[in-house]
Amino acid sequence: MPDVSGGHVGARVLVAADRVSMALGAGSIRTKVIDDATFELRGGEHVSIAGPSGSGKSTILHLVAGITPPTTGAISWPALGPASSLRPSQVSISFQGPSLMAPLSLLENVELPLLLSGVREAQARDEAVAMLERVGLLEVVERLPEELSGGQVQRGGVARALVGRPKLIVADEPTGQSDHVTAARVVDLLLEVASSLGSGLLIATHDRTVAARMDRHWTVHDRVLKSEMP
Amino acid sequence: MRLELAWLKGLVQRRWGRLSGITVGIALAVGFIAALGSFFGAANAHMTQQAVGSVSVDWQVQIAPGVSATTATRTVQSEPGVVGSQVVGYGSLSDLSCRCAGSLQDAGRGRILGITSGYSSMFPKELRYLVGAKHGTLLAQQAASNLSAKVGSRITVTLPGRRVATLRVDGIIDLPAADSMFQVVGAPPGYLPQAPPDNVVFVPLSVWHELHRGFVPPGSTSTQLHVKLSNALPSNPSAAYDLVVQRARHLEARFAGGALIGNNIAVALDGARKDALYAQLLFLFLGVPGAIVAILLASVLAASGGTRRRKEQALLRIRGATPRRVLRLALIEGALVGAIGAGIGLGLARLAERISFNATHLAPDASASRGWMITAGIVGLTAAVLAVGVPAWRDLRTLSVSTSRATVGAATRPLWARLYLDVGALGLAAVIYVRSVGSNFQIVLVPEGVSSTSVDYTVFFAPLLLWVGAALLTWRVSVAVLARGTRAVAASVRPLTGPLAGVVAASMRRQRKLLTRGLVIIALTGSFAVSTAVFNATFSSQSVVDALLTNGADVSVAAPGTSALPTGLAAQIRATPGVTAVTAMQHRFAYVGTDLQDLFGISTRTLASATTLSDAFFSGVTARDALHGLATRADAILVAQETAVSYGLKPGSLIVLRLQFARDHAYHAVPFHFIGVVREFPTAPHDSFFVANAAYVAGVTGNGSHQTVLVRTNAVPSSVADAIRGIVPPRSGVVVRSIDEQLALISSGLTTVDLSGLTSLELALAFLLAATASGMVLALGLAERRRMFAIATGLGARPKDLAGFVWSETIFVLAGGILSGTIVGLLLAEVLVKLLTGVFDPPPTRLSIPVVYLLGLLLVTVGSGVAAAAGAIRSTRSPAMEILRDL
Repeated sequence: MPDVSGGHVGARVLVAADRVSMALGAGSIRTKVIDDATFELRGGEHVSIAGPSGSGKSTILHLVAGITPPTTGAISWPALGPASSLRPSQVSISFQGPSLMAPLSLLENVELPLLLSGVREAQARDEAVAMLERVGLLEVVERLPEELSGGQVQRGGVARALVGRPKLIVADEPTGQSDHVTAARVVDLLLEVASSLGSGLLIATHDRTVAARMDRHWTVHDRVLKSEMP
Repeated sequence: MRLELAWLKGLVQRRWGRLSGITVGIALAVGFIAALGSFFGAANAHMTQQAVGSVSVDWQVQIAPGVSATTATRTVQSEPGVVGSQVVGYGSLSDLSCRCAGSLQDAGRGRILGITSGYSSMFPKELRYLVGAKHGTLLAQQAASNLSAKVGSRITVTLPGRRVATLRVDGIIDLPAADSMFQVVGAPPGYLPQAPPDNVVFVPLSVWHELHRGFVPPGSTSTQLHVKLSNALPSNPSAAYDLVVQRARHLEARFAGGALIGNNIAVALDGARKDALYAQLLFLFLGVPGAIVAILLASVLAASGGTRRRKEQALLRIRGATPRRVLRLALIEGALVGAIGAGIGLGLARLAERISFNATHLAPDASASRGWMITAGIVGLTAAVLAVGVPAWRDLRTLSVSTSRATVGAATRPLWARLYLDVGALGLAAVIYVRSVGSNFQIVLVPEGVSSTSVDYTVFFAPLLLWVGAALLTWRVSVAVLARGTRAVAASVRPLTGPLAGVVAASMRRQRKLLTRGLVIIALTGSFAVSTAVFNATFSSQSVVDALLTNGADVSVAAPGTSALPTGLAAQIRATPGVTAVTAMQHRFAYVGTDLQDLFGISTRTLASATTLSDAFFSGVTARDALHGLATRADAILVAQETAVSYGLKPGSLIVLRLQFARDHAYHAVPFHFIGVVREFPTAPHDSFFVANAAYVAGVTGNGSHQTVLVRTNAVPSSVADAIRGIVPPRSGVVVRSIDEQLALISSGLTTVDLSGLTSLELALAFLLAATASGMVLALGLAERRRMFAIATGLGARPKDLAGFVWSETIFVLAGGILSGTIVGLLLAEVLVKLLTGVFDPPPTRLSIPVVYLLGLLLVTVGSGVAAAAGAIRSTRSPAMEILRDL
């Protein structure tokens, strides 16, 4: 039985994929974006995933986060439970693009996963403010996403991914819009939160310095994932 | 051009939802304008045809003594538009008598007319043959009744100068157009009409000349030419009126004082042109708002894709497209949807024309229809180009590339809100309304016999400003509720959203412009639909009241003119199956001073059971009190308001009328006592009339005959009418009519504008607009936020969380729009009914609410909105891959 009761998951398998493939479109324009990928990620593991643009990194992240099901193959979350109960409390994702919700302020965006998990409104607000302070955005909590810079939006996205203390953190190029100093701070934060919670961390990145700070490295090339086994 | 083509292709493939939304709005606007315009063109032509068709003799040209009939005929027939003419000799009779039914009957004075053999084929509606031959000596039915004469009887006519002749009666006839036949041609303005003579004898023109050969006292004879005009007249009643008046004047000028013209066709068209002006006003008041709403809807649907369009524009500009080129792309998009929308709209208009013209038996006026089709097409194309082009042009002028990407935008108050134009518009509407419903105000002024007509179009601003002001006020209130009432909004959406209530309320606050736009367009379409439906229902219910008043009861049985109904007919009718009550009524004429008015002699005992009397028929008293007043005093009389004021009558005042007595067929003074004012009465005309006790009238005049029987039935009135027709003596001239036949006659008649075609068009449009407004505005608005819902799904929102977002917004938009639409719609209906009182006959005392239609409207509005919301919720369950990949 999976352990979904909260707390550390130890080194148990958080996500396991067996020969998963993903195809887009239908008929003559059907295109495979991931072909026959098999991987595993355990609690406490910090993994980077690299590959050229369009190679399928984001698709793997979406598969890991349970946002999209694979076309073929099997994927499971042994320590987290069924796909329907992953988000927001077990798995969280920080998207690559500007994904803060336009009509909500930065603070409302960050407290949203907590509210979705059933946390009381006052507590959700306090925890969101605390997380935004950690990512250096306390000054701009009331601003709308369109009033923030690209880097601030991305950090807001990271804060939103971390605020719910998930057991598996998935981050899609979380430093793509940031300078080196800010990028380092964001990665520090991701690693710190993941370590303190004993969570698994999967980061897609083009930045070798970011990748170098992870325990393991996956690469995607021509739709094929090569996972470096521990 | 390659970019333009690629852009269009992309739009059609990827943005078909937005394009089809605008296309639907444009198609509805074009279809409505074209169908309505074409309908009014046909209605105008119908009114002209009805007016022309109601006239039996178009002109009565009275030739001055000394002018020969042959010369006059030549002059008349050379006049453009004249189809033919017949000479008619008019002479007086000092006495008309008959040794009939075993005794000498003397009917007194009368008229003798000479007609040619071709007269009745040229003017078939002038004489109605009842019994006997159609040529020779023809005796009017009333004269035959007075003399107890039959076909074959020998009557004695005494001409002025004591020339006496005996004639054999060859046939009995009725004179349906006696009023115009015996009019005083060339009477000065204000001349009061006289009762047409009862004792009329028609003889062949040659006999008439023979009788009058030799000495004839001056003024005892005259010659007229009865003229038939071509019915090729302009379709507009006003233009047709102007033409026939102009031709008559031209002919009079050619006669140089040798003839005077009784312009019967102009009199009929004079009435029709007032109806035509009211039709024009109805088009303006009821039709134009529908077209405005449809165009507004298209603009709102275009604007609902604004965020995406701004982003696309920003991308184009980043890629190097000049503002001019970006604008050209928008204009091409507008032209494309405009052309498709106009095409669909014109197709819809053709379909609507067929359906509504078939239903109303109107014949389409091809040239008017073509003109309206072209106009509607141009309006649709222009509206589409503006709806898409103007926002693009505005964004290009005012936004930078980076701000073009903003989705929420700064919360600035629009200029109208800062200037309080909504309050100003409502205030101005109130001022115009109060002025317009004040005393002595007439929106349409058509002076009798004068070419010029006048319509006070400023009145149109009262409902227009009310509508616009109320829409802007709705906007202000909605924005204020969302901006300042976040806590209240959060509290009210909590049952749907749970702990997300605060976030949902905050989201609604930031999207208040988008939500308010949807709410206001639903309010606008709703108010249009409600006001139109209520106005039309009120109009229909007044038509029923009018039919009841005109017909008198479920079924009415009327003798021709003032001749008597056969004795015992009322008892026979009472025994007819389905008849529950009958009352017999007298219809006479009475002079008050020199004014001739209708007099109705009633039985207070039986009247109320056979017909429905409304309190509104009487002034200052109830119907029951009025009847009680008549019942308690034999010589009591109810008179029209105008007569009461003219003669300074107070309750109890003596009023002396002159009534025709049976003994000598002459008019004699009869005293009555005034007890009250009557406004309307079953079978009575719209102008002045009297109501008195039948028994009193019978006693003083020596004539107890009845002219009308009113019948109440618990069966189908038309079936009962058919049964009664079976017991009415053949060729008696008695007319039996049921209320449903009368209603059909009224709604296609001359005195009222036929609204049924307009009603069906408008109610159908209102339904489509309501469905489109709530369905498409919500659907497109929600579609614009598919990305937001995809993000929320990525964060772990469950379908029920997203449903909370969608339902909160949907309920706010629908409830606000429906509430405002209903209130404003009812207010508008009240204003329209008050301003267009002249179109109602009689004016309504309260609005009629078409409950079934309004419930249907509510259902379609809520149903479309709910369907849009449910569709949006369903699509959030599996966000499109293209959106997820974009995150």
